[in-house]
Amino acid sequence: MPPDARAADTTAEARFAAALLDRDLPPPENLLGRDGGPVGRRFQVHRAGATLGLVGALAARHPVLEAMLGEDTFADLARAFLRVDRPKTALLLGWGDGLADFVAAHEDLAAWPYLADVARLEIAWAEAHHAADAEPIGRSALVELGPRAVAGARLRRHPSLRLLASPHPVASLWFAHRDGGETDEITWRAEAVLVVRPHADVLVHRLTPAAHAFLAALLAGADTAGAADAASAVDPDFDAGRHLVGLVDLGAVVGFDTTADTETRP
Amino acid sequence: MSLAPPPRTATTRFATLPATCGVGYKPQHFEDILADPLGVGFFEIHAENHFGAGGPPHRRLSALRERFPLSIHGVGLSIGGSGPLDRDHLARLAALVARYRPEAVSEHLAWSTHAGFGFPDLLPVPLTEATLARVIEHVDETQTVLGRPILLENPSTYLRFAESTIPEVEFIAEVARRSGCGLLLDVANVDVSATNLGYDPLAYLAAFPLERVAEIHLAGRFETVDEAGLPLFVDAHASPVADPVWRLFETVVARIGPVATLIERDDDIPPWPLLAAEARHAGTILAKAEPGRRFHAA
Repeated sequence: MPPDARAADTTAEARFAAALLDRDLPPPENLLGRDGGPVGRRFQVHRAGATLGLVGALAARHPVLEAMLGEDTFADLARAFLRVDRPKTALLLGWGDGLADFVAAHEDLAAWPYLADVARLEIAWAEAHHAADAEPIGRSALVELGPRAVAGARLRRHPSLRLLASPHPVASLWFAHRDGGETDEITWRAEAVLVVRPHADVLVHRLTPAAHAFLAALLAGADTAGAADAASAVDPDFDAGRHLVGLVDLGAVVGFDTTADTETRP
Repeated sequence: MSLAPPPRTATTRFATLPATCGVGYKPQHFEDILADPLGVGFFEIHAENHFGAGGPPHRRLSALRERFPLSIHGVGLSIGGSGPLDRDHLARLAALVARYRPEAVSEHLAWSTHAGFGFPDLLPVPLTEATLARVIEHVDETQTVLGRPILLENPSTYLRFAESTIPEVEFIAEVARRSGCGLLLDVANVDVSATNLGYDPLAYLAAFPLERVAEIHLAGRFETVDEAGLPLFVDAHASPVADPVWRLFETVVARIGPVATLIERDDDIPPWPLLAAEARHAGTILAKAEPGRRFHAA
């Protein structure tokens, strides 16, 4: 293909794309309607389609934020977000992580500082939903390991595992506003949340501050004894053994690396 | 579930879907479909909805695939784009195709990415010699990476490019001939485009290389007008198939015999029994048709 022909095509596409992105631009002059007629409403079909697709993708990822803000306000927010963040490809799976920070910085939403963390919880939920599958271990694996090895073991996380800590009751708000949600009165306090999808369903599980410290240390690479120390600093009565079993029961763990493994590894 | 074997025509080179009715799969219908497919013979999924690593989308797709013939329909490869194909996107599509071994793989004559921006829409291409060469390269590359032919779908169009020099039907025929791909004939798109650009849909169909059509799409459209008061049909997939589209479909089936036919519905999605009934209406038309005798494998 001659380079100038390819360049002409690139130009046509570039002009089309620019007018899709900037609503203030008129449709490109090389576009024609029926019988050479007006093209404005015809171009608007594509402009609306592209915007609705992106707003719809954000709404699909943030059903709770949409429920809290209302459909119209959410759509306004999403359109404002599109002015600062666009997907780089047509693949929308995994696009839109910036929405949480955008919400946090949004002046009109400053009175509701918890909204950004609700958005973060929904992003964690979506990531867990699409994460790779893996078989979690059961309690028997802990028993086989034995108490001495457990202390020096490092947790191998399920690929879907996400951890989130908020100064707001993020999980309680999330539970309250999703379809058929909890109706219990919300206690206004900091909440930490574990999100994991061991099998078919995504689980959202509230953690105590000490349990959060324990899991955060494990995910940072501490062995269980080290993580237990981090948790005990938050709550002297923290029971590391019980919490480790709890993580296994939730399906958050796919295995342990023991000290012996680490030493024999080349 | 027992299905009569499809008639062996040349289109089995491109896809091996049964010549019956299918439905575009929506997750909200999953349980109902498994409980009773209500006579629907195959399902189509959007490839990009299954580009994630695992989880419920793949669990459900696996269950669906075990029970039904499957069509994988890409909506974001940007085959009509001026830049090179996104290798990562194509690799993910190839992985999905290798994993689920569908009876058909299809994509669009459209673009959806430009210079680091993605648009969740099927955008129109200028119909020029330069675009033609590029689309053939892209279809060829896609088929090489997938290791199988794809079906290319005719677009729904709302406007023309001043620089276009090739009629759409000739453009598509030439892409198919030179790349060796099959075709997905969206009859609803034919009616939408013919209405929007003011040509005769029957003349378009008469010129279309029907011998390469291995799947048909049907869908509802939204009807409005442009600034000049001329009809403007939008390919909305949010309502039942319109009567003129059923008549065009009957015309096509009368010419080529039964072919896998899918109802697309992406918005205002009705309960499963209603959508299945619309698909069975297509199935009734297919069942009345003579098996295709016009086209035999070369």
